[in-house]
Amino acid sequence: MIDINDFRKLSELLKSRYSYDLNNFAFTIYRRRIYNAWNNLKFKNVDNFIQSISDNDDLFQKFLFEINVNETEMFRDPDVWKNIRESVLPKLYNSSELNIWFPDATSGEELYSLIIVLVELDYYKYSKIFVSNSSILCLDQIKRGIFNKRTYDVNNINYNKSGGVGNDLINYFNVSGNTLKINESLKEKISFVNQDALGVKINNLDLIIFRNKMLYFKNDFKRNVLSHLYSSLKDEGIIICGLNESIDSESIEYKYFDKYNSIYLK
Amino acid sequence: MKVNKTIVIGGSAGSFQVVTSILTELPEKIDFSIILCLHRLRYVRSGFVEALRLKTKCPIIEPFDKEPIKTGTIYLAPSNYHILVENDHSISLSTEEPYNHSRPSIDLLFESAASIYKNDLTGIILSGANIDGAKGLKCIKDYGGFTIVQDPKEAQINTMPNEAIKLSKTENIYSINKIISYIQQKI
Repeated sequence: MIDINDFRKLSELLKSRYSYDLNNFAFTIYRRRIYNAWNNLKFKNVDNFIQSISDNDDLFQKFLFEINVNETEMFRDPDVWKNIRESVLPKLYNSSELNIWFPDATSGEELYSLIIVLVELDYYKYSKIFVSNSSILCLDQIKRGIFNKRTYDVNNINYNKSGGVGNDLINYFNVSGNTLKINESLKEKISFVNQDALGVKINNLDLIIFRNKMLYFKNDFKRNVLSHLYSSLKDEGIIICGLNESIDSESIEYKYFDKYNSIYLK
Repeated sequence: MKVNKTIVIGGSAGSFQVVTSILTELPEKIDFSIILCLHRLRYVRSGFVEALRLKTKCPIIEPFDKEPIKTGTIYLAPSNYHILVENDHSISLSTEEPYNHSRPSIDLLFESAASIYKNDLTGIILSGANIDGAKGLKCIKDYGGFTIVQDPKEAQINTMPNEAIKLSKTENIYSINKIISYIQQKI
């Protein structure tokens, strides 16, 4: 466990050297993740870690990768994905470009779930998808599109519950040993942006998928990011958050598109 | 014996009936809060809190992330999220990897609550088939909180209680009735 003073020391260093503000993030969760990160990176104590990371961009990137939270499964909360397939995308589709953004994407489950739906609706050819994260290693992970075989059953069950028409998710992957690699054709329309959410300036987006990312933000930071996302959406653009994330109490003019599934409309 | 102002309860297979027994005995107004971390199916989103709600007049909810923890309210970990307590006494949800094969994990709740509430916390471990919660209960004890384990002889599945007793060395091995009495003392 990291004590508060060490946390402070590390925060100050990361902010001044890498412009990365640990104070934006949920303390209880991040404190543990930081401890696990420097353990995984084989540091015995935090002073050692602070000293090493103070001038080592490579180490910082590894650290960033460790503390970022991976997504849990494809088509997580199948009812939400059913709604995306049957209501959200048809509403947004207007036979010209569909601009979509995944801020702070970490491992690609949400991204590739959406791409599969787009393909099955025949909207993929109209899509332009932005994927951003300040962690270059997260973006690399997403680019590879490799998933462990043992996640397949859960993903496939979710996929089928969400109205998947392809019979089986395996059709979208190449199997190799213990891993499943997403088909290269599903990566064509993706643009990767190595920035945190606030640093990405895109306008007139149709859809932002931002599920279970704000869990790791403190309230103030959450408000700032939501405000920025709001201004990036076109009118009647849609943002989708995690089921147990709320933006009710935030002072932004999102309206409910589907309250039960945490889908909001600008 | 004082009942602490926050009670965290962890359980898995075999704990549902114990929890409903506890809830049934609560009056409408309690001046402490309860956080329930019960292992549950990841994709069954509704039905659980509704079923528990039938058993108690106390408000019981599956919280949103960052929801303030209010005295008198019972919180149930929503499916497929970890539930923790934040420094400012709000709920912190997480989608991190399963811990002890579980999401929600009892250890994560108990450890976070222990460091924040310290000796003003009671931790209770109920029936279950894995060892989630044992380390967490020890943590509560180490921080000065009060620890209770359901008597393994009574528990439907005694793996979780046995491991919790072994690791935490708690002396408070209670029958369901004694757990209920303990909680009622505050009333």
